[in-house]
Amino acid sequence: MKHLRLISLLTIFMLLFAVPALVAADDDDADGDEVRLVLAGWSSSTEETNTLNALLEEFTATTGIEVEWQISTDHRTQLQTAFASGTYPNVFYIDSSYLLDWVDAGVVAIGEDVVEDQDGFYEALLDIFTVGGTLYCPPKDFSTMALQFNQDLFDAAGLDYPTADWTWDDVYAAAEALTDPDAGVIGLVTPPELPRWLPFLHQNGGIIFDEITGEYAMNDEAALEALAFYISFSTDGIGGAPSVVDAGWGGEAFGEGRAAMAMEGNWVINYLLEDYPELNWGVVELPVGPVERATMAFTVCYGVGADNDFLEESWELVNFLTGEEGQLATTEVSFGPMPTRPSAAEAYVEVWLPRSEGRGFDAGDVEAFIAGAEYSYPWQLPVGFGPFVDAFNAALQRAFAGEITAEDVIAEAEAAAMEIMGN
Amino acid sequence: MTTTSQSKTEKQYIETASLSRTFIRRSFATLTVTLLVVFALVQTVPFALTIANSLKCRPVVQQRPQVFIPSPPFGVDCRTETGAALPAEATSTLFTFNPALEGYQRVFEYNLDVWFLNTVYYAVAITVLRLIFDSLAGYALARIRFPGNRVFFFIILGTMMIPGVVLLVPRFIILQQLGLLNTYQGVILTLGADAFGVFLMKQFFESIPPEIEEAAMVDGANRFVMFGRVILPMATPALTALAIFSFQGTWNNFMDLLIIVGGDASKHNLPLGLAQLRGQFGDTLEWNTFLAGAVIATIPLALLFFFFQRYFVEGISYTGLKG
Repeated sequence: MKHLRLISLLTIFMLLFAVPALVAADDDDADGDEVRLVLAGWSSSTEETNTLNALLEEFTATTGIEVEWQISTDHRTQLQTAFASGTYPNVFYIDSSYLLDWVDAGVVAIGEDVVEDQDGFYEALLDIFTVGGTLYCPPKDFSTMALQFNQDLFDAAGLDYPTADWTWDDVYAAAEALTDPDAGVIGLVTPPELPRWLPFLHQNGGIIFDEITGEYAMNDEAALEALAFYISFSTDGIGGAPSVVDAGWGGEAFGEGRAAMAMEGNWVINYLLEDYPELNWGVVELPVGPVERATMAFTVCYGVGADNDFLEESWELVNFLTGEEGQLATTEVSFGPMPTRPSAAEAYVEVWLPRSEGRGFDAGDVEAFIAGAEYSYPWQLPVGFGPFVDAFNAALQRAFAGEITAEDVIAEAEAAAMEIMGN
Repeated sequence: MTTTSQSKTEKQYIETASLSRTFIRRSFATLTVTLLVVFALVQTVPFALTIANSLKCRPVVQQRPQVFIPSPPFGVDCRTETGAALPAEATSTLFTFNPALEGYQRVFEYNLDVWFLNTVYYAVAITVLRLIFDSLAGYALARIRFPGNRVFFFIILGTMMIPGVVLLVPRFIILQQLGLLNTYQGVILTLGADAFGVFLMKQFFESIPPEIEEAAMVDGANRFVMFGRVILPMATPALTALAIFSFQGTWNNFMDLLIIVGGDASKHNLPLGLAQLRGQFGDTLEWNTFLAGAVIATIPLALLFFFFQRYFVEGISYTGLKG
């Protein structure tokens, strides 16, 4: 009988704690008095987590609005399931690459009239989060691409260090001189991915979609030329994918000294200082293209949920976090992304001073990343263009292997784009 | 005298004759041991490297991942006073490294304690529920004749044939409609009974001779008394095996937890939390922190295995399945 009693007790206990869950799920929204916001985003480090928590506490102290920060592990997927279920966070990070999808889904509130001090942001960044002339959300932080070079390898080859006014030919010539097949060193690491190549496209005056007509435009002479140039590093044996030198990504190839130059974003600074402290390296802006200067901006904004019980309070929070004070505070511990207000740029450079002290890196070089804000293009594609990126990357890999030509890659990408737009 | 010498020569004769056989047997044994040592090393090296690398500074992990011999000074600082990282040479040589606690310090700055407690909670609750439900269901299917007995058994068995991933989406939708997403109950109720356990218990109960129950019945015991007093105590080995499997499986469960509580960081378990340490883009992986988390997640299970090794092996032989 003892067992029987135990079993029934446990069953009752289990049912007891299951039932409140069913009830509790309904009255979550019904809480009237207390304003409680949910902020969903990711964090790249403990320092970032701690700073944001401190900022949120300060926000609660001054406004009385409680904020719960939910750290996403797979932000895009988690938010999309939340959107599908109908209840989603009040405020959430939106990466520029999928902004258009989410705006299209109608889950992002319009920020045009509520975002404060819009003149204080980099204009290029505001443009990225403006869809059809309407600003949706203020930029949280951003990253740009620049050229990293290994000073020791340049010295050994007797070459002058790169400068901001290098041209494509200069990069190619340097890569050729720096390549050393016996030592397993390539001149420039060129990941076979669309966003890594896009700066070359823009530098050559090309674009994926015509800005005025909106038509697909990545099939002209400019695109072909830029792509042929990018592929030539691999086919001529002076560059190639990170895997060519047994690295997982460009930063690792560069850190290991197996690539003399890399074109990574500012996320590489912390990685190199932390994992390769003895490396002597520098950063300059990307080379000037035949037509213009260009780089890519990878950026994130604070979006406010359209279906929102606390719309006003949500904007208050977003304005607090993207305001001057919020930007300065995040900058102090930001180990990667840059502040979106020029007024905080200086503070960003200073962050690196103590951490690079006595190392082979000059903190002043991070200016090269900041400079990119002025002439950057967004990493952003229209709704449903995921397969286009996949098709392009797959074709580019085959082109790297010498199986197909730049013309074929352009043709395959166009076919993929046409198929998506035809639907 | 004669008998002794005789037996001596006989012995010598036998010894000479079997010398070559002994030699073969010895060299065979040596070969076996060598092979076993090699396999043991192959199995142990990843663990040794995990522990070693969790104790290194980041530059050492990157540049000398294979070094596994610690050397004093212990507990070195990975950084200069200004916070700049020290080069790999400063905290390691070509064959030894100075252990640092940076990885462990940093992993505790994440929510490791929450993940740990959650993992224990899930593992204990699910194991208890599975012991109850699996043994009850297993007993009913093994002993009680009721209409549809076999149909029920095949339905339960059938769920084992469906690949787990197929169930992820329906499970998510059902839990969402019940309002159980991102709750502890959602995890515990969903995983609180499983087909494998029912099958295991049924097979075991069928191996118990029915005469024992008949004897109990003659003494006036009803079904529940018979189950609780007679059958369950006899099933201790199977219950132990089931408990160990459930605990181990739940402790390491990643996929189900990701689907059910993935949206609420405060309810994550260790595997989910460790995945979070990978950072959003994977490039920023702090190896020493990540491996320190992995070591901490492994210790309880390693201890469990150490103390219950006998039952683990027994459990495997019951089911003919690999744990």
